[in-house]
Amino acid sequence: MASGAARAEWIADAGTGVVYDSNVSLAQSRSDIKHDALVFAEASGGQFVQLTDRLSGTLTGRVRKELYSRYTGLSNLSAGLSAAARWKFGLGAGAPWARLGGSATRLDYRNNLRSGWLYETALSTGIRAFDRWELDAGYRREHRSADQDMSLDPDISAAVFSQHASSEWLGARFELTQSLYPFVRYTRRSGDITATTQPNLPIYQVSSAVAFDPVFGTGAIAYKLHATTHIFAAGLTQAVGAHASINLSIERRISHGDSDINYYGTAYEAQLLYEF
Amino acid sequence: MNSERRGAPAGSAVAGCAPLRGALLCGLLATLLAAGGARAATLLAAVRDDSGRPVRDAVVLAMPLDGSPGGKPTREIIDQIDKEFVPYVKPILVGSSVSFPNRDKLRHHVYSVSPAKPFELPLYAGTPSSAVLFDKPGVVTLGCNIHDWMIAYVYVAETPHFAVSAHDGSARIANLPSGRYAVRIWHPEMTVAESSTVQQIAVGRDGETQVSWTLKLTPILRPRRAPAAGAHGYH
Repeated sequence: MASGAARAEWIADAGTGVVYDSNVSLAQSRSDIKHDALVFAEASGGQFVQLTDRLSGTLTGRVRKELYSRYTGLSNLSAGLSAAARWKFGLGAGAPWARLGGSATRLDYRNNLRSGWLYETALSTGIRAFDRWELDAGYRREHRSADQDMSLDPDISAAVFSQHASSEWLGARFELTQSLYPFVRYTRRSGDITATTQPNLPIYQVSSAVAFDPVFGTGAIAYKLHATTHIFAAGLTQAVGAHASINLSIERRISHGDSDINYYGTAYEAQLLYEF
Repeated sequence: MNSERRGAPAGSAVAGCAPLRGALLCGLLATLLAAGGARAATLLAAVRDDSGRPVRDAVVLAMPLDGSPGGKPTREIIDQIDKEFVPYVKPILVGSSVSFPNRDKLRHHVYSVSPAKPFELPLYAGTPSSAVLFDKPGVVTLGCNIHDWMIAYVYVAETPHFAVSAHDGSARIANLPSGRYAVRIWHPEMTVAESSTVQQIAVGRDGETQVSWTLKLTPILRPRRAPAAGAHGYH
């Protein structure tokens, strides 16, 4: 007997990987630039429900652990909840879709300065086109609220990791073979960033928040300023059977901050994903 | 596409005929065989790709050249198990109907936009109360509108004499009445027209007739099921 009643479906995935980042301190001068590698493991699980022929909803929880090799204060555990609704505009794999999602994530760093909450909302859309292409675009807003505000100066905030930002992105994934998918993605992020430097008066003057940052050594200063960051990413997804994939990517970040303060960094990532 | 014909094993009445000599000789043999009374033989097909690997899920069909193909429509089943259609390729006789039971503990939305049978079974669990009638010959591509990687094919045939190749590339059509046949093959990844695969053969009153094809295949492009970094899949 057929039934049209909504039925929730359990969804879960897990992943692990390594990342090398050429500029974890997001620094400008060569002496301030610190590189490091991290390993991570993450898992998520939740419920997916197809509400109507076109509309589905997802409620998931996610945990992620990151362990840094040199700058251990960056090691962290994050856990969050996310909800999303997805609408498919038609029938078939080529029908376009739109997705609206939001999440709240608790960030617990070994260095408490960075601990806090991250709230994100995103609206994205995509389509499978020309047989081999999957295209997507989206807009995201993020708000990060730091737990601590240990001010150095009563006139200036020390909440360097309380940030607001928005991002737009364009992505494309190409089906090279039945299991190999190169992809590219461009993201433009506009908003607060937090960088680290040795005491530096010109930077201090353009910062909206400043705090000591012991993660990068005694006397290191973390500071917040507004910047536009261009992120160019490219990579490969190799499907391994129906439930797993190996993902390799490279990401180049170029940040242009206020007062012509610029940052550059490159991250390399290898990740193994499994979907249950 | 290459095709070749193997000699019949000992005891086989007719091994099949070379295309150029085929019509007259096969006709003569078939007439002689038919005169001895209609009995059933077996057609054994072997399907390989151009690298020599066995090809599974190829539909082998035998269309009688003399008389009507006969056969009665049937009621068939294509399951949905672990978010996949089972089987992947299903040949049926035109006029047959197919039921699409959903064995998963979630809902599927089965559809086809193929000219031979466009239809939709919107979002359901369990087994739909009515089966889908396939009353036109042709290939019908199935999909699920929730799980985009799910795909399957119904081959609606005008003959009841068909089989699907197994893992080893072999297909077997049993109980084939003696006579002349146009045999052909279809596969979802085949790069040539089905009509170009036709071979004429004659089968005897019993025994086995062998036929083989070598196919050039092109992988089907469809959404992946495996997860990808930064993507949400169907969620």
